[in-house]
Amino acid sequence: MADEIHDADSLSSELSSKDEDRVSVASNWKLVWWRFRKNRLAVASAIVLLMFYAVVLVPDFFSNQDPEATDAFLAFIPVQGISFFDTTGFNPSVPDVVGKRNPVTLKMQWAPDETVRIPIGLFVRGYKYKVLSLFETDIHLIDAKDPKSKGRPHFLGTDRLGRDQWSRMMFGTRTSMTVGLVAVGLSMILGVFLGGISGYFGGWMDMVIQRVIELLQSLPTIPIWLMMTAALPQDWRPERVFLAITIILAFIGWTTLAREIRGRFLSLREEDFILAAELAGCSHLRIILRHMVPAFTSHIIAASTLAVPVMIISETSLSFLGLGIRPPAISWGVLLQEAQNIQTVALAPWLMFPGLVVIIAVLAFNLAGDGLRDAADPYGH
Amino acid sequence: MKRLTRILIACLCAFIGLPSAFAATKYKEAPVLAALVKAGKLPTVDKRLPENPLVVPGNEIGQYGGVWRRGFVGPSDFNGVNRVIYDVLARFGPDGATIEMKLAESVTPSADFKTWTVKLRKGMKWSDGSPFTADDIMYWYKDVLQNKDLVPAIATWMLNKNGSTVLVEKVDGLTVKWTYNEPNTNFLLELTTKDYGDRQYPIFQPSKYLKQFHASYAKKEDLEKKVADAKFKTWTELYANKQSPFDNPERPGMAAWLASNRISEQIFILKRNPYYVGVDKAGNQLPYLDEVQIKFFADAQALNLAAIAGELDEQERHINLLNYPVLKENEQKLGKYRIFLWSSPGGHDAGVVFNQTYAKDPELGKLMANKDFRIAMSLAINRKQINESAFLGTGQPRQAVPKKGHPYYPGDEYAFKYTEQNLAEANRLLDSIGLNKKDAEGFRLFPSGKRVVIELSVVEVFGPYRDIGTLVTKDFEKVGVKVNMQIRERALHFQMRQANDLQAELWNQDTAGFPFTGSTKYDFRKDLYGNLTYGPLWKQWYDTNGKEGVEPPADAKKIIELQDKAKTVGPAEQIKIAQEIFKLWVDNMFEIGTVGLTATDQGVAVVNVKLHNVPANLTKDWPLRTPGNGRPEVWFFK
Amino acid sequence: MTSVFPVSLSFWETPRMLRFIITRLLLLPLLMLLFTVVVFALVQAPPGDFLTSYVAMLASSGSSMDAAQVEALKQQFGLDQPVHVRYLLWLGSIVRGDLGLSLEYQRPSSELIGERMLVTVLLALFAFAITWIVAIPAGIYAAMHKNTALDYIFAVLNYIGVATPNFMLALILMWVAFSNFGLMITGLFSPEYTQAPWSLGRFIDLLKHIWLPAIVLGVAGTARLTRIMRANLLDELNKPYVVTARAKGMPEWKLVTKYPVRLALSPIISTVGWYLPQLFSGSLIVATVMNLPNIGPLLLRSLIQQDMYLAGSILLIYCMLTIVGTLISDILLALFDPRIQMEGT
Repeated sequence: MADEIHDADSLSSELSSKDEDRVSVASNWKLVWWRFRKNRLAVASAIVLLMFYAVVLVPDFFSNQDPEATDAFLAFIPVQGISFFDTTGFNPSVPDVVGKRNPVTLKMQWAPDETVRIPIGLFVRGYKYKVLSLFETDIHLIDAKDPKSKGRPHFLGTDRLGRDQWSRMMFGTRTSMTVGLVAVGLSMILGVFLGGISGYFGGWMDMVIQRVIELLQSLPTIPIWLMMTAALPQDWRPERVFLAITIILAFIGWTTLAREIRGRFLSLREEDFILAAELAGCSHLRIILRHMVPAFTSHIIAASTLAVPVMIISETSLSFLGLGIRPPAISWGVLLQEAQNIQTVALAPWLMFPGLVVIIAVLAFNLAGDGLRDAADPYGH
Repeated sequence: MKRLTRILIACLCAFIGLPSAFAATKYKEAPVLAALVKAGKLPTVDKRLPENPLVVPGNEIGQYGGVWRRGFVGPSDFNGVNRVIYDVLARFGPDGATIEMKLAESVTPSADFKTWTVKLRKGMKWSDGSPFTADDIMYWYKDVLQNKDLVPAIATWMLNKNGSTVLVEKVDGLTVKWTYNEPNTNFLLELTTKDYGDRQYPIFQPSKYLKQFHASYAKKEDLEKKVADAKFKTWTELYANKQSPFDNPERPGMAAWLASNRISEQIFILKRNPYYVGVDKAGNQLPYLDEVQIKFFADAQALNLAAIAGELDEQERHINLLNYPVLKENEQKLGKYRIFLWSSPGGHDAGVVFNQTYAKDPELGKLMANKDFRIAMSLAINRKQINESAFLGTGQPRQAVPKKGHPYYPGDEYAFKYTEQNLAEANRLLDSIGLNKKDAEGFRLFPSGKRVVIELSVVEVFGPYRDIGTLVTKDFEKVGVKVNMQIRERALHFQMRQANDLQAELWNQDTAGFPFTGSTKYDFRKDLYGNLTYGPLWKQWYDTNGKEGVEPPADAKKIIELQDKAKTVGPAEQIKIAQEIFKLWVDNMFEIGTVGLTATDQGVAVVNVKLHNVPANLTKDWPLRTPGNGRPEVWFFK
Repeated sequence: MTSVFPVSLSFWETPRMLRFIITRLLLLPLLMLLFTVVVFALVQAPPGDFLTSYVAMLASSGSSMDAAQVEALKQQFGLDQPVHVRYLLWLGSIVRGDLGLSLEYQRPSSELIGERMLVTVLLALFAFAITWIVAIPAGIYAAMHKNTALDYIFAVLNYIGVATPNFMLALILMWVAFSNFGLMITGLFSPEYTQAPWSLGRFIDLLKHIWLPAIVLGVAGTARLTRIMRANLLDELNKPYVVTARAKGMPEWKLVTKYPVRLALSPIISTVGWYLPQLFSGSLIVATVMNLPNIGPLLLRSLIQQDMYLAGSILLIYCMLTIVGTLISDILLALFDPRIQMEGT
């Protein structure tokens, strides 16, 4: 947690003298990794994040149906539980469902058809897809054993158009996580570049950049986002909107990072080893890239990791208001927006599951980021 | 009524003897008003009502009192209020087909339908007690309609074919005469929409009150001071504000309820008008309800939630059909309200329109102008699925014609033509018109080798259009036509429509019950902005007398001929013409209907169990000002 | 006063402090001018204008208007001027204190904003109060009982609180309150008090309705504040003077509240000024979902309808609140912690 202090001394004090030698010759990254490893919560979060990014890379592997496939006659199927055992032993399956529209309330009511069960399995063959546009395969993580079976498993139910939520969740993860990462990446570039110039060169450049940062930070975030996204033409293709949203988010977010980096530059500038490099005749660029940047990369990464969840929540809020990423693109925000109405909250609450996923992702980023920050900075923050 | 007869009946009443305290007056009134009369603040009810009041039928005779709670989503939702008060000279009844008199006593045409005489009720008064006379209509004609500052261009219903303004003359204190150069059988129909709808100046205004804000009558310095005090810049802005019954509670009006505050408040409150011209069959002055409180909701979800919780007494506007299951469950659970499903005069609730004069891509334009293409597309649509997902299965697959029972119904054959999904036939038609080549992904190609790609522009206005668009897109792709669905916001879509930039749209210009008036889609010469995009350049052809634009096909021209003819013939002939128009409409697939007769657009009415006289079956439409045509003035609580 | 917080009032006399404040105050109008340009540009950016959306909206409800009538409306709304003229007109009127006419409401923007300002401020203050009332004791408790079960529970709750998007909570809570408890929590007043003038009864009615929105708004802030309080307090509790006091036999709770809590609080107080603007803008989405008569929904509507004067005015107010808030926060920070360098902050 944030307040637990680790430092090189405490680390070495817990080791035998043989390991002490290892510690003293270990590189910065190794030290960071060792400290990070001790924080179990952070490690667990990092693993969760890795799983998320696995989904980002190959969403088709994790899903088992076309996320766009609509079938109005399969609307609002609730989550069906998986039963693992039956009379023949270990045989995981999902019940097939039979639907009927209640003639009075017009509500679609689904009941499990006990006579028909759909066996499911891991690493099953399903629809064909391309991995990273490189090679084609048709293996899916979890799917019905018989690809031709009439009934399909809907692990997270279906929405009002009969689209499989499980698969939509996978593709939504890809979009949202990517937006978060790219937006933070852009912020990082902007922040390092401008914060660096500001901190390293000082003088009037510092003044100007500082004022710009102040200006940007004085803008109230949510209203400005609203305005900028409302200004996006409604008929742009989803990919363009996606790019624009990322840029808008980065545009507001780089200031905090820039400030931090500027602070680091300012303090590092006084260090002896930088002075030595200057005296040795290194060019500015070399000093920055070769000497200063490595010293605080770990901080930058920690700060960035903590910035991603902010971006994710921002994107979710914007899409939720109908101003960010819009259908037919799928993102967590879009999924939540489609669930943001009375008929869903009252009749189909399983459609709000993406909210839980958002919470988990944000939690994971925060915990991992905290762990990274603590590991990278032995003297607390 | 003859004077002698009236005297005789009065004597008869006197003989029969009315022992009640009301013996002194012929009519009865609400207790709150009676108290004011007693205190000397109001004249008696007989003096307030016209000599020949409007008798409003209702299932039961009601009782006075109560507040009608309703919801709206902001000042721009003012048409919702217009619908409630339906303040017109003549109006539609609950069946959506019969026109009855309201403020006017009679509207009579001449034999050639060129002259229309409107007679007002004697003794009618504005809500401040001043008499409503022909002068109030003449004031509108002379000082508002023809005042270039207030009205820069005159609306088409008041123009003759040669562009001159229709002549309106005062015959006597209660009679006004309209004289058209050509026969106009639609006049009565037009009258029913001449209220404050769309913030257009109504044709009767409280002239005595409003003259002080009019540049032709008020002293210049006085007017300028008023303008400055109200923080406006010109007198026309001031006039518009003072004339608006929703922004100016001091403006006298004729409606059953009048504003007591402004529409921009959190709760817009309308209070009973002591001078309202209506009575029930037992002689009680209407309305029964004391107040209408219209509450502002920032978000339609919150409004729906309030309806579900039983906090609104009668609400159909902004109620989402898809909330029906939740409403129904709570109807039983709470027992506070019941749900009525009101249907439209016909038509459909979502239609696909292909632009037959699309110019930016001639190949595509030519394809969409091909009737067989449109028929194929109609056959490709799976209407059952649309009905299930978007309308909870409550609708009927149909084309854009009125419903059965309506006089204009052209017959089952036309209502359901091309509505059965038939992929084989669709594919065959598409193959036959030259689209038989397909690319690797199965999408059809033009003869030139280019893939057929059509953009379907969708505005999310009426119900779940996004879903319908998605389903339609998938259906079209099943027969090999690639479609890109583009969600647009309304204003942009309209602009593109006007500029002939739309390829295909999903829209609902549901005026199937009124093919001859308003912004009817069955007349492509109407303003493009609010019309369908099936042939923008045809309008141009007509407007420029053939110099520019594209000549419409024969059937389209025939529809125009029929439209013009309809204005000149009587109602019986009009029915035949309407049916012919609808037959041509469907045969040519100018518009591809999907599912209709659903309760999507303001058709789900949540009604308090204690509110009586609300019609369980009501034809709903904008020209009918629903719920106005349900006669809210006879609704009461018990 | 001086014994409670480690601040020296003589700082007010220091030229540095004064220079700082004065520079910031001088920059304020310049910043605001820049903002007016940015804001106006953003409001005008979407294609079309108020009239096109208005007419389109009317047309889609079946109304019909021909070109003549549209022209009349255009004049009525004053939209027949070119952009830069409209900007200058707007700027000119702002300087005079006239925030322009809302096209949709047909009323002065200042009136509309004024009506809702009080509620906005009250909501933010309530959320703020709830945040503090919950977070500070929770933080103290967690610090004092470090690594116990309750501490971990708080920690998890904190993290979840920070991670949950508050608008999601809003509709869910509203529905749960209704379907399970029969409570209708839309709006801030019962019908009888909505339009009534302020009175004790109205205020009590407000209290009855405001707790749910305030909670929804304050959840994230509470979580964050608890963590910070705990961290700060832990820092303090490790200091020698605490150890000494404990060795001397002082009761634990008295020991904690006498000095460490106050010291832990001081950096937090400095964030107050920055937190309030967050609350104002953060309430936007929640207020729309929960139908609160707040500035937020007004802004959202005006943005969508391109009601430019209203949208622009509200945005300027948000900007001003943010700047003022940041300034207050900076001043408080400098006031409470003399170690902060003021140059280049």
